[in-house]
Amino acid sequence: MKFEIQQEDLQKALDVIAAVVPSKTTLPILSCVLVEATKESLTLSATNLDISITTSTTKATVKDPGRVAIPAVKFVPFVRSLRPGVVTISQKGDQLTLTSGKSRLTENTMNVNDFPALKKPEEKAALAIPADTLIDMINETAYAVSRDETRPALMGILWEVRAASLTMVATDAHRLARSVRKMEWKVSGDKNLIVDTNGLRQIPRIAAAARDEDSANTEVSIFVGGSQLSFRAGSTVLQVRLLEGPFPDYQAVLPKDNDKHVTVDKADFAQAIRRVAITADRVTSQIKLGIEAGRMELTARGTEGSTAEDEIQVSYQGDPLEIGFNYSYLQDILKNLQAESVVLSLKDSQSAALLKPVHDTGEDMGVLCLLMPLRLAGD
Amino acid sequence: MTPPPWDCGHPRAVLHVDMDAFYASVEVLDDPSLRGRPVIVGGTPEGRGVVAAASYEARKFGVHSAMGAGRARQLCPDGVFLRPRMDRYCELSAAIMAILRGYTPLVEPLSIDEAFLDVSGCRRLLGAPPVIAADIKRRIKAETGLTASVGVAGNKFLAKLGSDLEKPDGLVVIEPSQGRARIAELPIERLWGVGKVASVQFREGGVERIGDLLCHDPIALEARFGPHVHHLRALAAGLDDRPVVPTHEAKSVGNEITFAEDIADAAQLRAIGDELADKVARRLRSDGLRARTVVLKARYPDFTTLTRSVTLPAATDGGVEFRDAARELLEHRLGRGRRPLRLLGVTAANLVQPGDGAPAQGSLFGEPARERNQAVDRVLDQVAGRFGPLLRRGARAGRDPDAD
Repeated sequence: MKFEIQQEDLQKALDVIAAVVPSKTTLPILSCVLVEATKESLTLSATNLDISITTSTTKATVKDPGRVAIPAVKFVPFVRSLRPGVVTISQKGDQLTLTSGKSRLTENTMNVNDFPALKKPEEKAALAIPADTLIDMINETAYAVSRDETRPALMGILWEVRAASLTMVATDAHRLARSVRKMEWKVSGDKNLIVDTNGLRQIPRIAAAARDEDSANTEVSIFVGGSQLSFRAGSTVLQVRLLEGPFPDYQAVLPKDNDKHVTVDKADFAQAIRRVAITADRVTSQIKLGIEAGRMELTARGTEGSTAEDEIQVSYQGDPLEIGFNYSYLQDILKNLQAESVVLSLKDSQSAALLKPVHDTGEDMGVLCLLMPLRLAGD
Repeated sequence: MTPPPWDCGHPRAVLHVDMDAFYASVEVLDDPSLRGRPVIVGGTPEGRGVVAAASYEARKFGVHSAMGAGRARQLCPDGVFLRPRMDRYCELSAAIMAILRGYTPLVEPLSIDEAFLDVSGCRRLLGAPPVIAADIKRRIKAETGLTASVGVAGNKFLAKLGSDLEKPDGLVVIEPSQGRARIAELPIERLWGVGKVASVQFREGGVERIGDLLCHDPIALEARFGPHVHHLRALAAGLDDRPVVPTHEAKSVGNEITFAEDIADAAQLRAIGDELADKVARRLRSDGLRARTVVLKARYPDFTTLTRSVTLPAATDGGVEFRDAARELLEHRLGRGRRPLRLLGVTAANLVQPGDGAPAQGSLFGEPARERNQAVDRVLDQVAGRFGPLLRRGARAGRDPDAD
């Protein structure tokens, strides 16, 4: 195998796939990037078995087609460190040689036939979605996924694919985030999928690479098939494993009778939380919200006798209420709600709080968050 | 000045401090109206559960710890039956251990309410061992309101035996030179390591008292009772050179088993993993601890050893949580295919001490299953206390994991 390519083009292609290469693995071949050179194109792939990314470029000049598995650990940083210019990569036996000007790297390759066969997705019945919408929906939900490895389904994001909409839901049982968008697509039959979250976190990068290729690439195509969900953006394909259910019945826990609506300025609220949280108990992370007509008092009591208090203006008419929360959960939610103001709907100090962004247009963007309170001491 | 009643030439001085009817005494301490009444901790008046501790008033009726509460009820119908409050016992235990550590860093807790102290090195500073023992008793009484019995001797065995001789509120000094004579007349069961079965065998062989062991021919004793008898003879002679090993708060709680033959069968390995996880969870519960991390250790026939761990979202002592975590690690995280194993171990790490922050973070989906599991754990603990761990969660009739 032998090909030439501009350093910048090779680095871009590697940047798209390299994040998937696992740093620790029991299967040594996974620490490699797969490089396949044909007369038409150069294709680079990486996989950790849960997530696979393949990207192609026509910017290489292939002198001698071939396939090679190159350990990423030195190859990738070496390419990144090179000056702009032509890079020549050639393989002889088990040895790979990279030269660029006077710079040269020699590396042992691994048996290319050990590299897991990446099944090409069947690129038919694609669902097209604007990349920005897809990325927004992932950002609006991914922070709420569980890190509990004993409940794998909660580590993924639930996708409800419907005839004219897409819903994403993530929850760790303490909080829940849901995002719904109308879609202009044709789907035959409803589909519920639980998608690996780390896989979805690759999407901003592949979407950016696609736009970099061609500014007309503003959509991502989605293919549902077998045990994985595949995404194509430009000349990059991302394949993400689907997780086994069941996913909890989230519809059943969406509150219907939270009638105490508190509207707050998001920035005011976030800053007050940040201030009082400084003294919050390190183990419970608890802060207390005391809400009454027109104002909200925030309090955090530390274990060493320190207390912090703050007060912000809110729009609220109902009866006074006290409720405790883990402040870091509140911060996560506020960080990911895209709006100037937020409406907090409560029932009592024991029931889930509902948070929604408030938009000037009054239009419901279909984003909501649920957060269970931390019971206040003495309750 | 009266000469100290202790042989100052002896190299070692060991104290055994044993709280008197600890759980029951704590209950009386916290509710003085119980004073003088037969207090029985553990079990319910309806006769369920197992007695964890009985006050001396209750012991007069024949009630003792590890007895079924039903039997205790028959013996002592007017007894005050109380549920154990482990948090409170742990709190006082910590205070007592802190007092002991003020005398010497060489404190080896044996359980929540007893400990060995090696005071060999602090005689110059603190006085003769009997003086130290009396001071410890006085301070425990003054600072916690509870009484302790202390044995003072030249080694652990005699010290422990001594603390038991004059309970409650006892202080027994066994001079190193008198150890052998002092214990010769005691029944053979009082020897460490002689249980019910062995004592019957000894009595059948004409060994009724500790001193009898030294009168019989050692060769004949070995032929009849096995080589272990030499260790017992040393104890009977008042000799015991085991050191006092200071222990710190446990950092992990674990259990492992090396198989007689390598095991490849996935179902069998899973059953063993379940059992180990269950044991670890039970030990945590009995120590009042919770853990956040579960570690699985696997050794292959070629002696390579792998450990894999998973961190749980919240600290737990639940059998189901540990079992699920152990299964996940065994079946999905070992990553070396289905190779036979020669050893399997389950360890709970990242321990949370009792009373450490228990955030009452609500759950969106309710946790009826978890509450049910906790109830099952409690029942299993009680059953295990009475019958040994014969039963375990999810055991199925007609299938003995030890059989194949």
